[in-house]
Amino acid sequence: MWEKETIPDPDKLYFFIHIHAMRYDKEGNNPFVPESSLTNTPDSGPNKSSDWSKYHRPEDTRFLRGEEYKFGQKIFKKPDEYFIYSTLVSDWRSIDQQHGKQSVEHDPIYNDPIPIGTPNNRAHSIIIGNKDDLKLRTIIARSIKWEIAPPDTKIECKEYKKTLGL
Amino acid sequence: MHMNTQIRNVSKIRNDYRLKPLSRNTQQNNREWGIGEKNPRSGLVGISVQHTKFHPVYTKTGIEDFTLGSKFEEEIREIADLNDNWDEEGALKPDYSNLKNATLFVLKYGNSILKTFGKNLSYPEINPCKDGSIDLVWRDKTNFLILNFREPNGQIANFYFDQYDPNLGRQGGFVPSELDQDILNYLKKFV
Repeated sequence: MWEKETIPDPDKLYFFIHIHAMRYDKEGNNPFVPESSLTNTPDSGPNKSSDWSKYHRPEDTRFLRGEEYKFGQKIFKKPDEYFIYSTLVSDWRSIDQQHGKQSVEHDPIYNDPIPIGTPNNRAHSIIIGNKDDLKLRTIIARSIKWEIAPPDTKIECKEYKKTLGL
Repeated sequence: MHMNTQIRNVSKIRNDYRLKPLSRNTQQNNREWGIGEKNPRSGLVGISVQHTKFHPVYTKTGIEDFTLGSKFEEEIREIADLNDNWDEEGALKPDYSNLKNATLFVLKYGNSILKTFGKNLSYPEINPCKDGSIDLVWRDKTNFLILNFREPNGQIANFYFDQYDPNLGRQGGFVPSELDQDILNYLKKFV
């Protein structure tokens, strides 16, 4: 069992994005996380999961995907299909009330025994608050930095998808 | 990048909105959307008021006689092909009505800008959201505009505009079926 801790503002949060959800610019270069990927997910609600940099490196966040089931299936995710980006904790906490105040909380996942497809994760943290607001999504999207970046071009990405069987 | 190259690239993008030969008609997916060519006599057009009759078509049953730039069409087709859970995290399949409303918006406002200012609107990014809604995004070095279509009846959409200073950002709702002057003014920055 891990105790919840307070996450400092300057720390990083790591997020994963599936290869189908990231985008390239109009020339097919410069992969980026679109504002659209920050919207609420209907079944899991407005809270967004992340990993706190105190306990995870970007490589750990990617690796852990391979121990998770895909949504609604009993099939493990493939880490190579995911890329990792980061924001600062302060990026979320500085959003004002008018545009959907966000709070960041440490939310470690611990089960014994560990259910198959739901791994323990001491780094797990959640960002609580509705994320539909366009200004909020815009501000957060601009703060994003790649930690494990996708292929540089859309053409290279298509080739990469082929190697993954996608 | 060399200036001439930049100009050529910009020109290429904008040309996607111009006349396209009949042999390059849209695909079946777009027919299902009502933006492909269904009436061969009309010829194929982009967002060009000199060659279209956009408003009457829009106010009937759709935009049957019109098509969009090839790159934009390709993006629309990719989004239309997505299924539920396309992000492996439970995202909903893009809502057909939201996708159609977003496309109609581009045609309607693109036509208006061409008619009024004689310039072609650059095509936007079209991005699916996890909740089935659709974002349209225009961005360049100085201006940023994002629209979100989440009301299937198309009566209202939301916008956010800034010049990379959120303190001076503007946001709100608008009625896409009417020509909103504020939205037009923002879009003029992307011609």
